[in-house]
Amino acid sequence: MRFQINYNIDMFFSVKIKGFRGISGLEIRDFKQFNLIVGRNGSCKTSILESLYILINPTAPDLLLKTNLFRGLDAINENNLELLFHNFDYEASILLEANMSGNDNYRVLRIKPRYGIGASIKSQIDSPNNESWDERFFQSGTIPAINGVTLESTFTDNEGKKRQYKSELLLEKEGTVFRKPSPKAYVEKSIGIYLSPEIFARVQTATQLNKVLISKRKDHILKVLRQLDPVIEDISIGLDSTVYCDLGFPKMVPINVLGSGMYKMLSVVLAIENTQGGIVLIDEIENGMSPTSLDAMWKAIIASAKEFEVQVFATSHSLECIRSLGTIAGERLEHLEDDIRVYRIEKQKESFNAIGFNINDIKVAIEKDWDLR
Amino acid sequence: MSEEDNKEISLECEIVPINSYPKYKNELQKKKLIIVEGKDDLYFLNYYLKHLDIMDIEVRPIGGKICSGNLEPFIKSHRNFNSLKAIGFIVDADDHNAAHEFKRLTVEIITVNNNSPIPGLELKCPDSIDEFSVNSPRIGIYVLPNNFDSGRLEDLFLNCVRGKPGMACVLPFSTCVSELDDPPRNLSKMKALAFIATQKELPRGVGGAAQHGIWDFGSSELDKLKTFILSL
Repeated sequence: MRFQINYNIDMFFSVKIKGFRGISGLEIRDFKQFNLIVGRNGSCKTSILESLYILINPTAPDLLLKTNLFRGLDAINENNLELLFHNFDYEASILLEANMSGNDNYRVLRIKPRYGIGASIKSQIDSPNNESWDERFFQSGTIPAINGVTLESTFTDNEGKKRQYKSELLLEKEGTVFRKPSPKAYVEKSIGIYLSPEIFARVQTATQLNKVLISKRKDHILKVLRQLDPVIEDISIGLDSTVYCDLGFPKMVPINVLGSGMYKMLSVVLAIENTQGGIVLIDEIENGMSPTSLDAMWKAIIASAKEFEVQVFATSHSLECIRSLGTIAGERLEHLEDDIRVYRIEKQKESFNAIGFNINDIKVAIEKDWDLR
Repeated sequence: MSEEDNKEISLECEIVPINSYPKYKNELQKKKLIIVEGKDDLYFLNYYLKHLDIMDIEVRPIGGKICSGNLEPFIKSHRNFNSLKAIGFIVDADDHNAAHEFKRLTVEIITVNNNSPIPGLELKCPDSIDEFSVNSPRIGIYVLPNNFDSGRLEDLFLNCVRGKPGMACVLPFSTCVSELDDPPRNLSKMKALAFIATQKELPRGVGGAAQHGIWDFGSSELDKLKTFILSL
C-alpha cells in the first residue's frame, strides 16, 4: 500500500531549529514517512529528534523536562534546564518551527528563560533544613541562572488564522510547576512517542504490549519477533509486568534473555502500533541490534508504519543501518520511492546543514561505496 | 576481474603519493576538485599532477559516465563540496566529438543544480568548452582526448607515445585485430594495452602506465590538458 498524505494524520513536513541545545540554526525540509537522520558524533541528531518531540505539543511544558530525562539527566535539576539553551545563551530564546499536516499546519514555539534568584539559593535561605535542596545545591556546584521557562506557541491554520498560547515551567522548592496554556486550554490532537536508548529498558513495554493483546494483534507481533528468532511460540505479560516468551521450554522466559535486539524490536514495533496516525521518534535505532538483524528491523518498521500510518524519525551513526534501509527500500522501490529520506547533518564551524538523500542517492552511494554519514 | 588484478589496483591506490584518501573517505580536503570517470583517469591524473608539482587539486572518480543520477549523490556524499573554489570535469568524448559531450554534461550539471543538492551550492556551467564559469565554484569541462576530437583517455595516451619503438609492434597487431570477424569494441583501448604490453614492466591499463613512467608527460599532446589544469 502506498503511503498517501492523509491530512487527518500527524506528519511533519519541515522543521526549523534555532538556539536549541547544540544547534545554532538548522532547517530540514521535505520530510517523508521514513526519515533517517545520520551524522557524526556531536552533529546534534538527538537534538533534532527532541525538537520534533517538543513540537508535537508545543504547549506542554513537561516535554522539555522529558527530553532531559531521555538523555539520562535529572529532569528537575534546574542546572539541566540551562542545557536546553544553545551555548547557555539565555538572552537568545529558543525558536522551534514546524510545518505539519492537519489544521494547525504551521506551529512556532519560542522558549524564553525565566530569571530570578537561583532556586537553589532561595531554597537554602528560606529553608536551611531542607536537605534535598541543599544537597542538590552543593552537588551541582554552580548557581543556576534560570529557574524556569516560558513557552509561547503560535498555531497558524490553513486559512492563515493564528492562535497564540502561553505556558510555563517553573522549578521551585515545592516541586515542579507546570502552568498550562492560557487563556484557555489548548487541545493538542497530534500524538507521538520518543524512544531513547537511555530508557528502552524502562519504557512501559508491558503496557504497550497489553494494548496490542487487547486489540487482538498478537499474531502480528509474533510474526515480527520470529524474524529475529523463529523459535518464539507465544508472548505474554506476567503479573510483574515482565514480558515473557514461550520458546517451547517447560517454562516461559523473560524476553530480556533473548538479547537487547529482541527487546528493541518489540519496543519499536509496539510504539508504532500504539501510535496510529502519529509520529514515532527513535534515537540510535541501531543500538542493541546486530548488523544481521537490521534488515528484519527495517522491514518490520516499514510494514507496521505503513499499516498504522505512522511517520517515523530515527537517528543513527551506523553505515550498516543506512545500507540496510537502502537495501530494503531498493527491494520495494515501486512502493517506497517517495517515502524515504536519509538526512546527513553536517556541522561546519557554527552552522549546520542537512543534506537529503533520496532512494536513488542511497542506492548509488551504496554501489559506489561512498559514505553517506 | 582476477584476484591478481584486484591486488594490483589496491597497490596502486596505496602508493599514490599525493591526493591519497584522507581520514574520512568522502571528505574533500582541498579547495579544487577534478571529477573523472574511472580509476585509470584517477591514477593518470594523480601522477600527472605530481609531475606538474601541483598540490592543491584533488581528483575523485565517479565510477562511470557522469550523469545527474550519479553526480547528485556524489556531491551529497562528499563532505566539504560546498567549500570548493573550483571544479574541473575531465571526461571522455567517446564516439561523439568534444562539443557534443560538453553539451551533454552541461545539461546533466544543470539538472543537478536545479535539484539544489546542497544548501548554498550553485553550479553554473561555462558557456563554451574553453572557458570556466565565473561563479564560486568555478567550473570547467575538459573533454578527452584533446577537447575537440572523439575518443578517450587511451587516445590521449597513444598520442603521447606516438613514435615510440613499441608502436612499431602495435600497428601491425592492431591491423590484424581489426580484421577479425568480431573485433574489440574499443580499438583505442586495444592499441593502448598492446603498446603497454611491449614494455618491460606490465602495468594494468593506462592509469598504471602513468605510475610506471610509460606516459611521456613532456609530450606536447598534453599541453591543452595542462593549460586546463593550471587554469583551474
